[in-house]
Order: sequence, then structure tokens, then C-alpha cells
Amino acid sequence: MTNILLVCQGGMSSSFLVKKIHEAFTKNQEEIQIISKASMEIVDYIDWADIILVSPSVLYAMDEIMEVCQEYGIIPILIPLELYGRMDGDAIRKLIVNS
Amino acid sequence: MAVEKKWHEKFIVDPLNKFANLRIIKSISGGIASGVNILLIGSILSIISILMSFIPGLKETEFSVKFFALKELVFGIVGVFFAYSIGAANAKYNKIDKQSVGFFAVIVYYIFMRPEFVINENGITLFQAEFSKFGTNGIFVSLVSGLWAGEITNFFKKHGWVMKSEGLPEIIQTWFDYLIAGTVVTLSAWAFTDLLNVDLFTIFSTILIPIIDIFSSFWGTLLLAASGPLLFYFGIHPLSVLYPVFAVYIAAAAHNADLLARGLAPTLANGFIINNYGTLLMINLGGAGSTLGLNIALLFSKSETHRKLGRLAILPGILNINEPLIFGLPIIFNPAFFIPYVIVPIINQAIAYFVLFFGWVRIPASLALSMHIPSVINAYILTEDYRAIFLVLILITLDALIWVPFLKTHARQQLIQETQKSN
Repeated sequence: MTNILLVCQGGMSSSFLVKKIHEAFTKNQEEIQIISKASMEIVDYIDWADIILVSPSVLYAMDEIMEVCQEYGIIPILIPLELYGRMDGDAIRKLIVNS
Repeated sequence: MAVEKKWHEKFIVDPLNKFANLRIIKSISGGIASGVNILLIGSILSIISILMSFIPGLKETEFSVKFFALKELVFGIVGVFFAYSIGAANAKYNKIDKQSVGFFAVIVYYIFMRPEFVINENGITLFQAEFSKFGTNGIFVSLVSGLWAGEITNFFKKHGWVMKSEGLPEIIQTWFDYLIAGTVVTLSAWAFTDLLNVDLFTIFSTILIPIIDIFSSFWGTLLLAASGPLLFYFGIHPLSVLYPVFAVYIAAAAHNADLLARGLAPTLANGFIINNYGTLLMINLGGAGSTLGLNIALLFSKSETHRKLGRLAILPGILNINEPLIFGLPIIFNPAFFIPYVIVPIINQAIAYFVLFFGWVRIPASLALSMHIPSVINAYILTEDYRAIFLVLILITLDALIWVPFLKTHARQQLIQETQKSN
């Protein structure tokens, strides 16, 4: 099972997106666990996470996010604006699978 | 992608991002954001007490009085939680133990409160401090407490000034690790308050009065109303920068709530502040930039893409989350939408100000300050005045109408682009 952590500013907007991403994976018979949190909470969940998705709303904190992720050998994936805005679960799934 | 930086990136986005990334700003933002969540419990109690007020005869009962006291209690002790959450947020950014720092912050907050111990006639010691010091009134003291505890602890940890405790179980090690820092935090806060005789609560309430006056003035609030969308337009999440400013408005809301608790009617003549955090939330229609009107206009647009986005964004929009619109339409960096995105919240703010000024709607005086309650409901919770609901509905309609012409132009341009592509 793959654990995915999606972070945005307050963990609010991303909570809508996690459902869409989860659906996209379920459609492909792939089992994942995905949760959304505020970006400041990465440190609390990074042990658990295999993949970290970053909302464009926290682009300003990207350097720090990179730094934390690097310690754990994870390369965070920044979700492109349009995909985040359209809450396009399928496209984001592809993004995850291809990386 | 080595793209040369545009002027606005160099002079607006980069400096503001740097500001948002400052540890102190991040601690305040993160701390207030999680502290405000505690107000949610109070909000639920407010809703229940509003519902109770509709039951005739219930208001005078003992049950109702007791319940009201519970609500006062929950709202009244939030300052302590803010101290904890700001300390914990600061610790998180410093990557040190957040619970230890949170505890220290609470100790510091209590020291700043300067309580007295009074022995009553039965020989029982009472803890005596003004109750308002526990609440949102003390939000700036909470800030200082959290940062005081966090930064001192961090300083000691980073310099390796800790008790050596190798060989002990990990839990005990954590405590030993923070023993010296915690002691210094406590002693320094005590020396500052009791030896230097500084009363932070009095200092803050004195210097806050002119600051609140400036921020909550008509023009000050208009500036804030414009700055939320401006920030988002340039790709900076408003909540990453604006929380320290919100703290002033939260203090203004606490001022109003105090007056209301004294039994005064929420009018300008009674000293209530029109532009407090409650007012900001009341007209935060769909998120920064008041995009709920836009969302409704999208639902009725002739363009299929518009309608699709409108349907997708409406549920988050009702809960005042508008990232789907900001990134999806997109509004961000999009010159076509700059004018309505910035103008709409300014117009809303100005109208709301005059409506409250003339007393057509009661001035928000509640501490039920939750950002993610649908505006129509929030308007009533904050004001306990049904006319506020009409104000919100009128503003949403007006906003939608302002957006229509801009959406029409956008839909036309998109259509042209699509036909060009398919040719």
C-alpha cells in the first residue's frame, strides 16, 4: 500500500482533492491511502508518507518542504496550477505513477 | 525551467514570500490558524444557544443561564490555547519538541497574567486574575508567550545546552533535554514581569487601541479587503501573510464581545467596532476575493468549461475555499480577471461598512470566528440578526452581476482560441 500526503496552506482545499485522487486510483484497482494536511504538518506525517504532493498555494514554502523531504529521501511532487484548480484526480494520478 | 523573473516576481512576490517564510510570521500564522480551530467548539455552542433562543420561555430558565456560562467559559479561555498553539507552531518550524514548547508557552502566559493568590475566610487559596486575560483579549500576549517559549528553547537546543542524559529511556531524555531551556524560559518570563514589573496585558491593551483604530477604520479595512485578492493574484496565499494582521481584528472582535457581555446593544454609539474579524468573516463570501458571486455566475455561463468549473468549485466555495477558482479559471496571473477580483471585495466591504454604520444590521460582536462556515449561516451566527442574511445574499448577487461581463469576454476569447486550435 502506498501512502500519499497532500499538503496545502491550511489543509482545507486539499481535503477536497484527496477524494478525487483516491477515486482515480480506485478506478484503476490500485490501493492507496491519501490524506491532506497543512504544509506545516509535513514533519509529523513524513514518516508515514511514501509520496508527498504539494499544492501550488504553498509554493512559497517549497524550499523548506524540499529540505524536509530530502532528509527522508522523498522528492515532493508539485501539482501544476491547472490540475489543482480542475481537481483533476486522473491527471494527478498519472503524474504520480510516472514519477 | 530557467525563466527570467518578471518585475512583479522580483519586487512583490519574492519579498512577500520571504516575509511569509520568516519563522516568526510562520509561527504566528500556523499558531493562530490552529488556535482558531478551538473557537469552532465555541461556534457550535453559539449555534445551539441561538437555536435555544427561538424556544419561548427558555431564556430565563436556569438551564439557559448555565449554558450561557459554558459558552462564555469556552470563548473566555482561548488565549491560553493560542499561547500553546503559537509555541507549538514555532517549535515545529524549529524542528524541536512541540509539546514541551507548548507547555512552556502556557506557563509563560500564566506568568504574564500576574495572578494573585488570595486566601479566603475558609483558608482556601484562590487564584485571582481578571477573567478577560484568559481570552481572546490577550491574543498578543499569547503571541509573545508562544514566541518567548519557542525561541528561547530553540536557542538552547541549537547551542547544545542540554542535560546529558544518555542511557535513559527516550521519554525521560526528552524531558531532560528541555529541562534547562524550560527553566530559563520560566525564570526569564518571571524576571521580566515581576522583577522588572512589566504588565504586558496593560501595555498591549494601551498600544492596541490606536492600532485597532487604524486597521479597523474605513480605509484601513478597504486596504485589507484589497490586499487579500492582490496577494492571491500574484500567487501568494493570503493566509500565509495576513494572519498577524488578523490578530488585530480578532482583538477588535474580543473588544466587541466584551461590550456585548456587559449587556450593551451592538451599536456604534456604544463603542462597538464596525470592522472586526467577525465583519471580515461575514463578508468573506466564498474565500479571499469574495468569489461566491463569481462561482454562481459561472454556473449560469454559456461556456461549457465555465459551468463545469462552477459545479466543481461550488461545494468548496460554499465553505469559503476558492483554490479551485483561483487556480482553475484561473484568476491567478490572469489580466482578464484582475479588475473584478480586486474590486468586488472592496465594494462588498464598503457597502457592509455603511450598512453597519447606519445600524441596518447589528454589528458583529461574536467570538464564533470560523472561516469555513457558509457565509449565509455565519452572518447570522456572528450578528444574531436575520437582516445580515439579506445583506450577504444581496452582496453575492451584486458580485455575480459584476463578474458577468468579464466572464462573457473570457468565454468569447476561449471559444476563439479553441476554434483556432482545431483549425
